[in-house]
Amino acid sequence: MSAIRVILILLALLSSCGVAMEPDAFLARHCLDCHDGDTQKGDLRLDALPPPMEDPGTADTWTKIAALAESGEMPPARKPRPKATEVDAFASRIGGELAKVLKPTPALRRMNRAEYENTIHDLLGTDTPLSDLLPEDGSVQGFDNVATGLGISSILMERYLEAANAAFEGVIRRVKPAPAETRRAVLMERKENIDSVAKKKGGVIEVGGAFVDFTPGWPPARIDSAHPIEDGIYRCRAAVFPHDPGEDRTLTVAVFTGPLFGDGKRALQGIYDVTGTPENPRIIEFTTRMKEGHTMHILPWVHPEHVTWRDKHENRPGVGIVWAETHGPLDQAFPAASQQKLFGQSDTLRMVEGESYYIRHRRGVKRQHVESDAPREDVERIIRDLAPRAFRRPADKALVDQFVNLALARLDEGSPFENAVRAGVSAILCSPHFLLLNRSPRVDDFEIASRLSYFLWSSMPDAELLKLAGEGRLKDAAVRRAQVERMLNDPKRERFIENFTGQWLNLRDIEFTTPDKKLYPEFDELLLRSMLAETRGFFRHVLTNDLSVINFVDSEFAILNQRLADHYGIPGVRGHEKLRIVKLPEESIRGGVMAQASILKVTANGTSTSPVLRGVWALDKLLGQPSSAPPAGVPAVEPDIRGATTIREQLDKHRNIEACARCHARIDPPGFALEQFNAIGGERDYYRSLGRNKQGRVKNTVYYVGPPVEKGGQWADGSRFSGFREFRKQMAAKPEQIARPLAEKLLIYGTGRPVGLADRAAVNEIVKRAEAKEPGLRSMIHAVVESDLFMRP
Amino acid sequence: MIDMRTKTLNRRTFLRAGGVSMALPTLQALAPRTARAAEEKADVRRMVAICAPLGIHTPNLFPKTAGAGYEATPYLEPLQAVKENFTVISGLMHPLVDGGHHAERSFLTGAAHPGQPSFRNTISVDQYAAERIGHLTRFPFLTLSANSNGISYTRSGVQIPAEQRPSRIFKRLFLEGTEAEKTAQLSRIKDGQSIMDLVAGQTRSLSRRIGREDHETLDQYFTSVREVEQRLVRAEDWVKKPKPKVDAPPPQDIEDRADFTGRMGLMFDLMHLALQTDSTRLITLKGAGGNEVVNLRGIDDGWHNLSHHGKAPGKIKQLAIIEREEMRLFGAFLKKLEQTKEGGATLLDKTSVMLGSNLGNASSHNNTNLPIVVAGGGFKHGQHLAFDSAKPPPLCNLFVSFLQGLGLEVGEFSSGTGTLSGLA
Repeated sequence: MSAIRVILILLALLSSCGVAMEPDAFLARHCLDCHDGDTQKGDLRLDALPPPMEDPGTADTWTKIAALAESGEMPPARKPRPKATEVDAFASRIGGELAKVLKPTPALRRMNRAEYENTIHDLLGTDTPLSDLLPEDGSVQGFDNVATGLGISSILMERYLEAANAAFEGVIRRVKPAPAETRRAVLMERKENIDSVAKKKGGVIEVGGAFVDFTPGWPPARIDSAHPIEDGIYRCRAAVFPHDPGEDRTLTVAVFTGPLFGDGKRALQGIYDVTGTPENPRIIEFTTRMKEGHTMHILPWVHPEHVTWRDKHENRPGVGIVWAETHGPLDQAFPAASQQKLFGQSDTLRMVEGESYYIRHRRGVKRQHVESDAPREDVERIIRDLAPRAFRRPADKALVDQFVNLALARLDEGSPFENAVRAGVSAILCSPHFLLLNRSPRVDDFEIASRLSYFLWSSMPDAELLKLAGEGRLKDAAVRRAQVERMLNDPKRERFIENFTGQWLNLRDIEFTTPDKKLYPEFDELLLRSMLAETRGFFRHVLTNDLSVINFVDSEFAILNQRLADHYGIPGVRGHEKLRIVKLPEESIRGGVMAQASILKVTANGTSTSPVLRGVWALDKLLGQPSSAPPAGVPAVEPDIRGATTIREQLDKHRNIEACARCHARIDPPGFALEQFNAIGGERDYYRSLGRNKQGRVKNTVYYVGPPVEKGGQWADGSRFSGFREFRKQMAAKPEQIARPLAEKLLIYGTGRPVGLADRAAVNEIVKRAEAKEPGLRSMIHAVVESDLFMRP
Repeated sequence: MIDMRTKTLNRRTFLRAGGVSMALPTLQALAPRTARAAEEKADVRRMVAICAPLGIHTPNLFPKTAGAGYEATPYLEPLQAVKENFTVISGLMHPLVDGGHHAERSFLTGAAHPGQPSFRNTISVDQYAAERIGHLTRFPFLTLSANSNGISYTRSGVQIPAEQRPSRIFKRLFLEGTEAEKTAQLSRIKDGQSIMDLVAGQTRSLSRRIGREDHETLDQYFTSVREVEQRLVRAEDWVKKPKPKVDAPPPQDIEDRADFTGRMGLMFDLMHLALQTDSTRLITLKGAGGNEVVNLRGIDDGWHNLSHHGKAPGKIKQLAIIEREEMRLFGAFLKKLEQTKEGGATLLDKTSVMLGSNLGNASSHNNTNLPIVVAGGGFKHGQHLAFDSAKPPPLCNLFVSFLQGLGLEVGEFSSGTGTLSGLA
């Protein structure tokens, strides 16, 4: 007798509920008609498929069967549909079986590159960029922190050596900072700007002694005399005011810091609404790390865009820049704080001047390095202090001795003190005890501390977590709960928000495509930045307030600034600088992530939208049903942007083929519901087309009115919806369908292991623990932490 | 404490003596210097493998007739300048390799069923060669990508990170550090050797403490550490030798994926420079191809969408614009190799080049009848080598030919059981 049979009989004896009393009743009733010895449709014979207990090799097949039943792909539409409870019981049974035979997936893994950078920054107290030195990580089940996706090659190991060296270099400040000073540039006192105005470069003008710039392009507003003359942290300020904004245009400036010309990254420091007057300008202020000679790029972003040839009857809106200044370096500590942290306090340590170092505006500067009067003692002390912190637990003396000896050996060979320390530190940072997570064979308090911190901070535990671990208190669920609360209130939670939403909702892909300028002339960088801020802000709001996860499908609020509100056609939101919670009008099409421009952009290619791609996205991300690739030999369906055939005509043709219909019955409904949004998330009634047609060109653009948008559709079970609003309402009415996939994704991300059917009980437990029909996001995170899967070795 | 140091020194001496070459094929590097020098002067052979991840539309590639004297198809037109130096091959496939786009992982490895959840990859042909000849050059191999990931895999089936930034590759290959930087680098190489030695021991003792199923990660760790250790021994020599000087200015990276011509052009230029200067003899490149709308005239849809043309003539027309450009760039690269003389021969004669795809028909995600173009390497060219796609020889036979072309005594590789007939 098969194991499934035994269990089913036991279940039948124990339970009095009416579902699936008979052994294999589900298979017999719904599957064997086609998949028995006689028919064997799709070469699948279920009456002879051994249960996993007898042959673990069948696990993949059983998983697939359960997935097909759950997604509703099987049994096919022409057959009677099993009840939801019946399917759930069937899948749970298989899941239970699998849990008994499948070995838990190992949790031991290396850090991914984001975790590596965060860990080093937290460990050493530096902010040197490191993740770019490491290769991109592989992704499994949608996340790049899953053990099975994080392979190790010699190329990676070489990069770890390089990165360790860069990390060490970042600890030591080589040049004693000059006293902090203010460097200021009054724009119209600078000859480059005077020259630009005189030659009318890019149309720039002078108004009331200020430089007025109109576009983010050439010529740059020059502030050379405000450039820092050495590396450090600076408080930056700039005085700006609006020039001729007109009635319905708004002015913002985006401020980037970086090199004035040529290569090199420019870091966005902020987007600021331009207010004030020439006499009383707005003062923008921020603090950041800058390099010698770097500038502030103060770029006017005008919304809606003023196109000079088109809008010549209107005054050209611009931004007046009066002055800009930097004050610093603010970090005056010498030796640097990070150096004091790593090297510790000792009278035997001193900084020694070495070779000359060229800084353009400072004379006689010499590079400094660290020397010691008691090198052996200092090396040993430094390494012994760093190792347990780096390993995130107390370290065996024998293990630490190895690092100490390595560093001392360098001294003995005649290496300078600093290089001996460098070797020891690099060895620690290349050790499996540093780079590998979950390496302890049993889950003790320190293991718990690390699991919590890599889940919620993408980094090592802080002092408080390690202290609690040392006291053995993290085994106490109440203490853990309090820690999760603390961690979710800490600014480091932004790493969780960014990494989780970046992958769950694909926000990392937001810049993969640039919308076509002819089809989407209204797209600008302000919108792009606002989109990202919206979705992260939305997630943050749900997280902070433990709001129901159903909000991800349908919400009564949105997180908006004026740029997004204009894009969405929602009145009354002023200013772009800060996003705020906006209660949505009753019948608004916005609400939930599917109606957010970021999501609608990452699911399109910049030119056109595809119901197939969006449908697949919604199924995978929100309903937890990843689709398989189309079977061989089937042509793909893509929209015809010249508007000859409608997408529905194409897809209908497609769905008449049974092989296609199985998946498309599920893919198409969300896909068509989302057709009401264009490639940048605007609501639409017609497709935009570049082909000439009778409907004519849309005013002030070069595109034409294409065919009307396909609205509405039909779910796999036959029930209909008239458009996105109704679709969303119907989807939100099944909270368990939303909560379970999200619980699964949180578990994958939280544990760093793939989650399969065998873990079904754990997933259900999380949904249940998070309470009630509409579980809160924060409660769900608590439930993940309390899950057996999270605590498993 | 003293024990530790003695152990370290012993291991280093041991490594230098090349006593463990059985387990570690790359340790040929430690053969006596004179032998190496002699080898270097001899016939230098190279290999380049390029994958087009979105396929190549074969009706525009494969000529109607087999053998020499075929009529040039639209995609072969841009290659006519090197007509006598390349062969287009139809009817090849990797047996048991399916899974549509997933098959990309097996393109250079031939490992079966890459689409299945339980798939484990095997070593790629370039890495197989690198284990044997990688020690002869400053860089044992280059894995490049104009996309995201690369197509090379280690012996344990781990994907090797691919370099995507031309500026960074250029810097590594050609930009010389100052004397102070070189001294610092040497000191770090020495550090690196001791560190890798130490870490290898720690990995092993960690393995002992942890349950069995975790071994995979630790095995990979251990193997990687050992490989780096060997490479660092060689790196010591290379730091002392000057890097080759090239006239070309350092390239500026192009971030915009739509600028396909620019991005691929940079990669091809770098590959030529790397081969010409003998900085490496083994290069793999994963070409461009994603959802971007390529900024060539006449293109208004995403490349990936176009590749799923479903036989719509309008889409195939656009796709052909992109793929012809792809072939034009490839042709220019071959021409450059041909124009570079080395001894009495050309660089192209000394380099086996393959451009192909894991997709025989991208529109239907089909993995049979793969588009393959082979150039250079001293093979018999100027022909359309047409195999019966009903009885396809394994693509890995071509890899065996390539490996032999590198001067390696290899009779089999992955599913390949001998050289590909018709090329010799």
